[in-house]
Amino acid sequence: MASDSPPLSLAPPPIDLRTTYDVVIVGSGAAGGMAAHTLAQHGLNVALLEAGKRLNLEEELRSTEWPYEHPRRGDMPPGHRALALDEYNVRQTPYGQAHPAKKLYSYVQGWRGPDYSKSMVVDEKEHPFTGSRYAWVRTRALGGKTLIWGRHALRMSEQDFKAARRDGYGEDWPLSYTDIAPYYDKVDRLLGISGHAEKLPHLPDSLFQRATRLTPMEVRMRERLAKVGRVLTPYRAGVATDGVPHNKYRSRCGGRGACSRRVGGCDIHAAFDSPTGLIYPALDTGKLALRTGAIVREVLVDSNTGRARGVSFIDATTRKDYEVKARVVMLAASTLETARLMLLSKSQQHPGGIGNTSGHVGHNFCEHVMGPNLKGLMKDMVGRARANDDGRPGQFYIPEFRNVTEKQPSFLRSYGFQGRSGSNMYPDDTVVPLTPGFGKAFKKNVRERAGAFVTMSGFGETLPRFENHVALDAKVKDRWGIPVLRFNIKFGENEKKMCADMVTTAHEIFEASGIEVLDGRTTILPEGWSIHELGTARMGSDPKTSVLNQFQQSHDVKNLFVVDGSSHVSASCKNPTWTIMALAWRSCDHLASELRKGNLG
Amino acid sequence: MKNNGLISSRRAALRGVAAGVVALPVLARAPVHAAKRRTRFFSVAELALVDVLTELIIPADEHAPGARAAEVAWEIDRRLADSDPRQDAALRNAWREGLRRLDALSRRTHGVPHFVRATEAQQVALLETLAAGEQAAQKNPTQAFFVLLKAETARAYYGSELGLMQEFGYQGNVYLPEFVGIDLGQAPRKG
Repeated sequence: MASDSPPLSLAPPPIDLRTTYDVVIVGSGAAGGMAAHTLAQHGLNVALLEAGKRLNLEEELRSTEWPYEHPRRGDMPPGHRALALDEYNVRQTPYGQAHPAKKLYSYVQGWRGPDYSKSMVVDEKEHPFTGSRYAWVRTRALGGKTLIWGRHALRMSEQDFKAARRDGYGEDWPLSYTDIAPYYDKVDRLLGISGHAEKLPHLPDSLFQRATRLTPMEVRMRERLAKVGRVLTPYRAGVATDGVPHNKYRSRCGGRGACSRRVGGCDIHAAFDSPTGLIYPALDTGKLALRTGAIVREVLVDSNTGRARGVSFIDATTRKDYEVKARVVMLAASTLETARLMLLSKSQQHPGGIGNTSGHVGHNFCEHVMGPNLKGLMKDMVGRARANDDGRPGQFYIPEFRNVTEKQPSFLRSYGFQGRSGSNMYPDDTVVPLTPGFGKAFKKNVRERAGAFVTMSGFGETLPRFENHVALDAKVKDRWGIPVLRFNIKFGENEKKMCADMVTTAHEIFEASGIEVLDGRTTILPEGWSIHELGTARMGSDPKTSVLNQFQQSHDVKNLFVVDGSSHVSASCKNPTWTIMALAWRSCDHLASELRKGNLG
Repeated sequence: MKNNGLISSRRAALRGVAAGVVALPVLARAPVHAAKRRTRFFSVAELALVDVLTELIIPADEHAPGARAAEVAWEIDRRLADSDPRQDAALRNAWREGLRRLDALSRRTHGVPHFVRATEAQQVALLETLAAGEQAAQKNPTQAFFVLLKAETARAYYGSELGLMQEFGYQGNVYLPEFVGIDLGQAPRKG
């Protein structure tokens, strides 16, 4: 268990600023961590820079602490606040400006148990952004968003990679499922993934470890859905339910349910996080040097060749500027930060920002639209004996069916539903608002109904549009003096029609399953809410309309790679983390091969 | 505030004692000395009223103790004291005003100037008139206060050990060698 797993016995080797590394990686999340791991395994000298701190995750998370063991029942200290949904709709960006909170966080810190994740997430007051409404959720710590991710680990399908030729919208990816499948397999084996094989062509199976189990409500839904050709399957979780014996930093999942219940994940690292899953094993090879508190502000360019020569960063403590030299620069700062960094990296050879000859950096943003949800009661399950319904890293998933197995001509692409059922640790949050009255009858109703609750929310593919973009703000700077992003992102007609359809099919599903609807949202949540931002430095075969080739290598600058979600051509409706890691591994294998052949100098 | 009774019953569960809804005994706590424990937001009179109200909303019954035993009024007091006087001014006012309105309602309806002095039947009747507006789109301020009161009572109660474990019988947050629930029966395929 976690208390037995060794902390790093040696301080990670610091970055030597006199050395020219083979690769310098910016960002330590899923992409940066996977890149560091892969390249270190290849025996290359790698430097990894992370803007945030390295946290002691076991101390921060205290995953099994009960609400009543915490002095504020898991709430943050006075003065720390989370933006509420209304504030995104009513306030103008920058949301932190003139906000009276001492420390202000994005909406995830409004969920239960935010005290445990407050050190991971960014203070909005220190990191402003301008422009259109956007619920930007950011972390700044070693591990990036893998410290708070929802653990949904899905494979994209050939249909996703070639969606454009199917429905005529947008561009195809410059690679196929067969190119990436071996890498999905490698990620599955390295990190561990839980799920149940369904043999769906549009949602390929992984090499699954032990699947989670379903509640009786979910089993009934699965049976009823099967009758109409729809599927309900256990959540596919990036969690090692059988353990990963090759990794001494991670434990086997103990079904405590902590990761599902809180923003921050798992203090025994059964749920994948980049530090224990990738970075610490990479450090063990002796080929990785790490520096945290390093805010990269520019990719530096050789004035003769126009090639990348390294990066410049600000030290968080001293506020001084330093440079790291490398033969190859690899960006993994997360979709929006990477776009920002590329745009910031202006030079004579790259006046529009490095790698931006196409003018597409910052553009073609896409993500998953959210909003519609449904909550209800499976009536004949009321009074069901209390069971451990939430001791799972995730609950259920209904993969896409519209425009996949069912025609739906009013909109393009598709959506799935993620859901939960049964009792959990916060009946006041889930059950009480939907249980009227007070007194003994109310108390009894809460107790008897909790085990019968079902709730689910839609995740839909948004169409990438060139006009949806981020750019550098001309005036506003963050606390480090670095120009911030200005957003110009808005959902369109396809998203609206898709969401209307989510409401319709959610009702169909509940009715078919004998679930009485008690509440539901029909409105769309703000842009950014999915935390699956993608597309701002997209891959493609044509350098005029894309930024990277199929190996996430810049068309313009051969020794610049971009391995995070900015490289995606389209969003599909599937959570992107597993795909990000498979792509990064593949690109790093290619990079290592190119370096060995001397093709990158 | 570790509860030794709870830990030992969890250990029992780990040793394989048949799980069911475990009826935990309410531990004999040292009686809270009124003089040593001070309210931070409510006045003494307000706390007494909140204590009565929360116990009406989630009362003791044959299954488990209620809000009073779970010290819900104190947790609400703590949460309001931790709120921000400026940013949460509306919320804090809603509580003070809401409690005042309940006294006024008691005076108007039953001629009893303090809600705490009304009979239980009178108190329940008053709350019922407020609860009737629970689902209404338009609520008067006292009906809106009832919704707030109920939500905060529930949050404090089900966040307490007594509420979550004894009343609700929550089964989670324990180590499971195997997940609980229905297995779809496919052997895992590992590469």
